[in-house]
Order: sequence, then C-alpha cells, then structure tokens
Amino acid sequence: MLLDLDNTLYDYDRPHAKALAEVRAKLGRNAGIAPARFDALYDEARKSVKADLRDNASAHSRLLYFQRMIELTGLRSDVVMALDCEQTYWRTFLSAASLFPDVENTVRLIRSIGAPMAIVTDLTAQIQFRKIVYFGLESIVDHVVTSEEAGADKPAPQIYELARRKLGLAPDALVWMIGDDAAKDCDGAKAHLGAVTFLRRAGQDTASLAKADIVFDRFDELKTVFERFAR
Amino acid sequence: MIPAPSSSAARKPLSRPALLPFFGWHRKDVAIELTAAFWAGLAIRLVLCFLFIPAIQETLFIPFMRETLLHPSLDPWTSFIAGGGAANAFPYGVVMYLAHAPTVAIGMAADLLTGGDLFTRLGFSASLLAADFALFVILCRLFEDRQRQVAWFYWLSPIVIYATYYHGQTDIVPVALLTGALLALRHHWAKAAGVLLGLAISAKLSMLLAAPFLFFYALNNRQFRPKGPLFLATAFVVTAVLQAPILFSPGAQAMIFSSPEVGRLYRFVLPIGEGHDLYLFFIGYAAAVYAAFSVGRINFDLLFALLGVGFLTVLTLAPAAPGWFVWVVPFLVAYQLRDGARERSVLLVAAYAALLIAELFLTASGARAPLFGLDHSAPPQVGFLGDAAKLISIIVTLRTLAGVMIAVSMYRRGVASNDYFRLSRRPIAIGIAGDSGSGKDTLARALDQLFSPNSVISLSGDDYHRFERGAPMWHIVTHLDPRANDLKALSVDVQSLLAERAISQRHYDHGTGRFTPFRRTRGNDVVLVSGLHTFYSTSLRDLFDATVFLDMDDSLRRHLKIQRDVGERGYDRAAVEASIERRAPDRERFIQPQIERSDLVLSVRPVDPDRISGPDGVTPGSLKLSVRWRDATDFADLARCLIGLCGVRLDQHPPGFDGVVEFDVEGEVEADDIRLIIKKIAPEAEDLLGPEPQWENGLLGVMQLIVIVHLIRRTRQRRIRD
Repeated sequence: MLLDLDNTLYDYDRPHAKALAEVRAKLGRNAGIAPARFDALYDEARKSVKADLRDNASAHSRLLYFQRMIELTGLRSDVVMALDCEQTYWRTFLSAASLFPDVENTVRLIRSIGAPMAIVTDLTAQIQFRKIVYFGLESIVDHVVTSEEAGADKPAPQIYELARRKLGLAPDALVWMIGDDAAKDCDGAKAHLGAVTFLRRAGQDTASLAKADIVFDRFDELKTVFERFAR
Repeated sequence: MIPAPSSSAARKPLSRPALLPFFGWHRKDVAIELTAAFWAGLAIRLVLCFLFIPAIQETLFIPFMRETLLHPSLDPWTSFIAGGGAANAFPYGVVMYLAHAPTVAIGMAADLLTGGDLFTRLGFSASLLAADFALFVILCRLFEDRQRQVAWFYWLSPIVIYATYYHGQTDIVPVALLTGALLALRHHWAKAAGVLLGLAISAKLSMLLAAPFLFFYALNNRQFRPKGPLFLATAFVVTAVLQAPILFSPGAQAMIFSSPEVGRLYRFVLPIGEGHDLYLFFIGYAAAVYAAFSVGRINFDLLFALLGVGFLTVLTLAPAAPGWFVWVVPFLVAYQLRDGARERSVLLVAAYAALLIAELFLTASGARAPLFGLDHSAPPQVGFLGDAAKLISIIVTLRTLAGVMIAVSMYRRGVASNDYFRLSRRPIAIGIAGDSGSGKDTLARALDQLFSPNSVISLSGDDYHRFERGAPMWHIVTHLDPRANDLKALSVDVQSLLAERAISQRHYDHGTGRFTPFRRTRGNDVVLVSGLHTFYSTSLRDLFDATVFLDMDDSLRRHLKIQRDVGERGYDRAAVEASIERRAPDRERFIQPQIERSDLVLSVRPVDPDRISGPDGVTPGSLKLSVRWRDATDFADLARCLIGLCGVRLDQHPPGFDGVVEFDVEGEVEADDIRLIIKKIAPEAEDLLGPEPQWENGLLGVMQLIVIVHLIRRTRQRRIRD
C-alpha cells in the first residue's frame, strides 16, 4: 500500500493559506512588504525556483521560495529573515493541519490486513518527517519515501523504484496507491508498479478522474472497501 | 465498489468570492458541503415558500410590514395600531423589523410592477430563509468536522421547517443571532458576541431568557473571563440602545408586553389552595438558572447544554407558542452530535419532533396552498378521530415526557464534560522544592503565566522563615534547616487554600530582610508553592498534584546564585560565598533528600562542565536539561514531539526501575513549538490553562511543558479516582 501525504491524508489548502497569511503579515510588519506585493513576489519566487530545479524535492522548498522572494525585493540573501519566514510558515501550517476524518482508522485497518505500507511523497525529508510525526503516523507506516532521497518527484520511475525496494515488492505484487494527483500518483504508480489506484476527487475534472481505478471523496468510503477486502 | 460519483459528487464548497475581504472573512468561513441532505432541505423550503401561505404571515406579519412600509413612520407599531391594525400583528423589536424590511420592500416593489401579492410574501420568506441559512452555516462552523450530520439534524429538522415555513413564525431570526453570539463566544470575540446577543434580544425579547446563562459563562469560564466584562458591557449597551425606541413606542409596548404569548407563562399552574397558584414556569426556569450559577466553572459544551435545558424547561412548563420550539433546535443539534449514546439521542429528538409536529398540526394554525385547494389556516376539526381533546392531551404528554428526558440527559452529559480537571471541587496544587538559587522562583513565575491572570496563588517558602534578617538565631541555624521555617503554618495554609478558605499571607522582602504585614488572600484555581522544604514533611507533600524538585548543577547554581544575590539583591559577595559554604552540610541533610519524594526532578546543567569551573564571570555556555520523571507514561509521546517538531537532542538514559525515566534535552526550542506540542499531546490543557498561556523559549519552556504534561496526567488520574 502506497500513500501520498499532502492533500491526500489531510487538507493542504487551508493550512497553506493560513501559513502564507502569517508570513505575509510578518513580512508586512518587519520588511514593509505590502500584502498585494507579497503575493506577486511569492508567486514569482516560486516559479523561478521551480524553473531552476524542475521536478526535484527542493523545488518545493519554502526556504528557497522565501530566500528568492527576499532577494527579489533587493535585500540580497537575508538568511535570518528567510529562516524566520520558513519556520513561521511550517509552524502555522502544522498547527492548522489535521488529518481527514477516518484516515487513521482506514490506515490502521489496511495495516491489520497485513499490507506493508509506505508514504510516497514529494518534498524534502525534513518537513515531511515533521508532518508524519505531528500526525502520529510514524508508528503506523513502515516506510517513508521522499522525492529528496529518490532524486526526482513523482511520477518519475526513481521514486516508485525506491518504494519497491524498500517494501521488498515482488514484480507481480498487488500494489495499491492512494493519492490526490491523477498524473503523479495514479499514472506514476500504474506505470511503474502496476498499482490499483485510488484518487481523492477534490474537485478534479473528469479527464483526471478517469485515470484512476477508484475515485473517492471520503475515507470512510475506502474503509468500507478495505473492510470488505479484509473479510 | 464505491457509490456512483453522481450520488456523492456534491462536495465542492459553496463559494462566495464577493465576501472575501469582508471583515477578514474567507470563503471557507461561509462554505458548506453541498450534500444531498442540503439540497433536499432547500427543495422542501422552496416548495413551502412558493406554494404555501402561512396564516399568521398572511393575517398579521405581512399586513403589518406592508402598511408600515407604505406609510413609513418612526414608530411603525403605534401608527399601525392607530390605523386600525391588529394589536398583535408584530410583537417584535426593531431588529426583527429591520431584518424583514429590505426584502419585503423589494417584494412590494416587484408586486407594484406585476400586480398581485406574491413577491411581498416571497420577500418575507426570503428574510426567513436567509436567517435559516445563516443559522445553518453558524452550526457548521460550530461543529466543523461534523457538517454532514449538521445538515441532517438542523437543515432537515422538521421543527424548523414546520414552525418557520408552514406555521410561519419568525423566531429563526433571533435564534440565528443568538447562535451567532455563541459562535463568537467560542472564538472569544467578545464585542461581536455582545453585539449579536443585543441584536437577538432586540429582535425578540424572549431571548433575554438566554442572558443569565451567558452572564454566568462570561464570569465563570476560565478562558473567557478576562473578556467577560467587555462582552457583558457591549451586550448591555447594544440592548439598551436598540430597546430605547420601544420605550417611546406605546404601540410596540402594547404588542410585545400584552401579546398573548406573555400570558402563556402564567398558564401552567399548580393550585395550592385558597385560590392561589404556583406558576410552574418561573420555578422551572429559576431552577435552570440556579443550576448554571451553582455549577461554578462553565466550559463551552456545558453552556450549550445549559441553554438547551433552560429553553426546554420553558417549553415544557409553559404552553409554548409554536415558534418557541425553534429556540431549542441548535441545542438539540449539539445534543445529537455529542459522542456516546448517539443513537439514543437521535431517536429521542426524532420522537420529540414527530410528537411536536403532530401537536402543532392539531392545535396551531398552519398554511393554505391555493394551488392545491388546501386550507389549514385554522387548526383542523378532528372530530372524526374521536375525542380530540384526549388525543391532543396524550400527544402533549408524550412530547413533554420526551422533552424532560432530553433535558435531563443533556444536563447530565453537559456536566460530565464540564470541568475536566474537577477544579470546581478542589484547586490544583503544584509544589516546587529545591535549594536556594536553583531557579524555583523562575519556574514558579513561568508556570504562573500559563494560567489565567489572577487564577494562581503563589506561596513562597521564604515567607515562612521564622526570623527576619539579622536575627541572632541565624548564627545558629541556616535557612536550610527546617527548624528555621514554620513548616506547620505553611502546611496549614496550603490545606486552607485547597479547601478554598482564605489565609493571612505575609511576604519576606529580600530587599529589607523583613516581612510585610499580613494580608488576607483567598485560594483560586491553582495553588503554587515553592520553597526549600516543600516536600520535607510527607503530609504537606501529599497535598500536591505535581511535585517538582529543581536540582541545578552545583557549580552552575553557585555561579548563578552569586550573580543573583550580589547583582540583583545587592548582598556582599564574600558573605554570599561564605553562606554557600556554611549551608553545604544542611543542603545534603535537608534539601537533597526531597528528590526521593518528587515525581519530577529537573536539573539544568552546562553542556560543557569545564566552562563553569573556570574563573568567575565566565558565562556557563549552552545548557541542557536533565529530567528524572517518575511514572513517565507520557514520555514516549513527549520525546517523539520534542525530537520531531522542535529538533532537540534528546538522550534517554537506560530505563530504570519503577517506571522512572531519565533523559537530557539540549537544543534551541521556540515557544511556538511548545504551543504546538501541547496542542498535539494534551489538547485538554485548554481547559486548564489561561486564554493566552505564555510559553517560554528555550529550556524554561521545556520545563513548563514537562510540568504541565505531568500535571495533566496526575489530575486525569484524580478525575478517574473521584
């Protein structure tokens, strides 16, 4: 069983918005960056970092975004400010984030079926580990695979290959993948591991939804599926 | 395998981008899940609005609104009666009038253009629907993670639908305002809560019934107490301002105070002979208010339960008007959402609602639907069912019974959830012991600032020295000698405070070396005792919920004590050093043995011991915290979070006997991280700590964290034992 983390097991948008608002307020106070300008700067910095790093864990690094953003304002690399922004961001993010209802039950149920489990996620290990500890998932899942250690984001073969190695999967093993991104999670896991894919709907269009084997809205639906499977 | 997408597809949040910058609201604040239940409820409402004309709206409210809008006046009530209108047409306040006026006015304009009266009526329904939807959104925010059940329990509640859209009452407006005030209270928005409560009362005076409960909450809720006066003042001012027009309107007074609804309060009586009666309503309501008063501390869940009980009492002990039943619906929703025996509460509420609808259908006016040729404007003649009076009596009896059962279980569960820490029975006591200069005062201050302002009473062992400075006895005994301290008085004082009796307290002034005069002080939520001999006598030690010993590294303690006594207290350096030497044997004899009587031993040590042993004036460098924790059930969770979220270095010593855990913590810890950890591993701390606990950065913050986690564990046991 492979699980995506961000926006699959918890709602990403709300904590992200809160965290960004907090950083926006902080930079407004400390560096006099107007809120409207902040949004434009952040967007520009994010695009520029992503353009430089492409599909790589560090391309999601908030620290790099904030560093680049501060540079864009002409302040050179104010490392303290960048670190401060990053810490503010993740702290606010974590305090606002909570798992979707029934996630823990479902994951424990899958575990009781005896399926080895790995979280397969883009982004750097440091913050993903923190999230996993915060959500208390570390004792439930067997492995964590980040795109930082694989060297490439999903749907690249490397990250799925690494997941296969860590879980010790036989070539014909039955693999399940639960995610929220049709291309990265569903297509990726299907192409490289032949996985049966579960996609969280989260307002995606029908073309994306068609890529998944099973579409779900809430985890209690999945729980029913796996309960039937357990029997 | 999975339900077909079409059936459960509706999950996109309802978006209202226009509201975005409004009061800092976000789209998510007003978003609801568009579930099947929501659409069903909306469809039922729209059908009723379009096709059914409630009798009371047709004969009372709408004529009043129409007349007064056509002939605007500063006092619509009086001019309406003067114009020959019905004296019970609109027994509501200013806010109710303003709530309906815009939509009704638009409807009237539309009717002028089209001819007919459809739009005026729809205008009135539109304001009801808006209040109804607002109440639904408020309940979704109050019970954020159970929105789908809220849709079932509220949006499909037959009571709301029947009373508002079929019977036609407008109570949904004040109830939405009142529940809005509760949501604001929950978020500690004191001003908003006060304004909304004032608006609710001026929409319908009966909402005053809720005021005593909110009053006690504002005074007694631990977190909200500091903002309580602001809330009460705002509510008072808003109510006064909005009620003022009523004072100058004989018409409104006539409508509100002599409305037939007021008379209902006097109808349920118990004859006590000689022609005298007991008015049951007043007894019941006063009993509910007294329950709120006597329970002491009130958390938010209990406030909800108390309001529910209060309203249910009114509905049970007065022959309530149909609209009144809407008052209790938000509290019934909360009751059904509570964990434990949920099926039973849902069934009970369903039975209550079904009986109520049957009762209202048989006894109250309804609506007519010209399109279907239905007319239920007056209660139906039910002669064909046999003895109608008896049938109605049976229904009312059963409904009352269900109401009483709900009220009782609502109250019991509310009280059970309240006061998690049993603080209303006995304050929490924290004891701190340790040698002079080990940081007792610093820790005591740091703990003090975690609780609500003025909720902690601190006793210092220094205040119980037997002699003032310079007294000859100090040549014979040191401060560390138990005989130099009045430990019995300390013990008696702690006992008095725990029994919530006042004590006479004096302070030892380190500046003058003398005691201040005695002052009477009274116990509060937390009793914090720090001193040299806090755990010296076991009888005193056993009074504490948490026992903390501070055991600072010897050379570091010496360094810091010299810094404090010479620097801050202005003592002579040589004398300080001599006194340290003189005290050493007593320290080993009287102070250190208390370690064995402490649950928690915290000692601050230098990471690099060599730095401190150098010449004086050298800063001790970075420090680490060594912890010895008896009964450390929470250690694993705490370690996980300290490592995972704060990034500290944590070394656990090999586990010892008897569940004692020893470990060292070292690293930069931020107060924000500690706030995050406490929220994660001890969410119930919210009931214990103040509204804005001041967590410290660094090791002091870690000490605060460990003490609070330990305290919560111990008080939880106390709760189970009780």
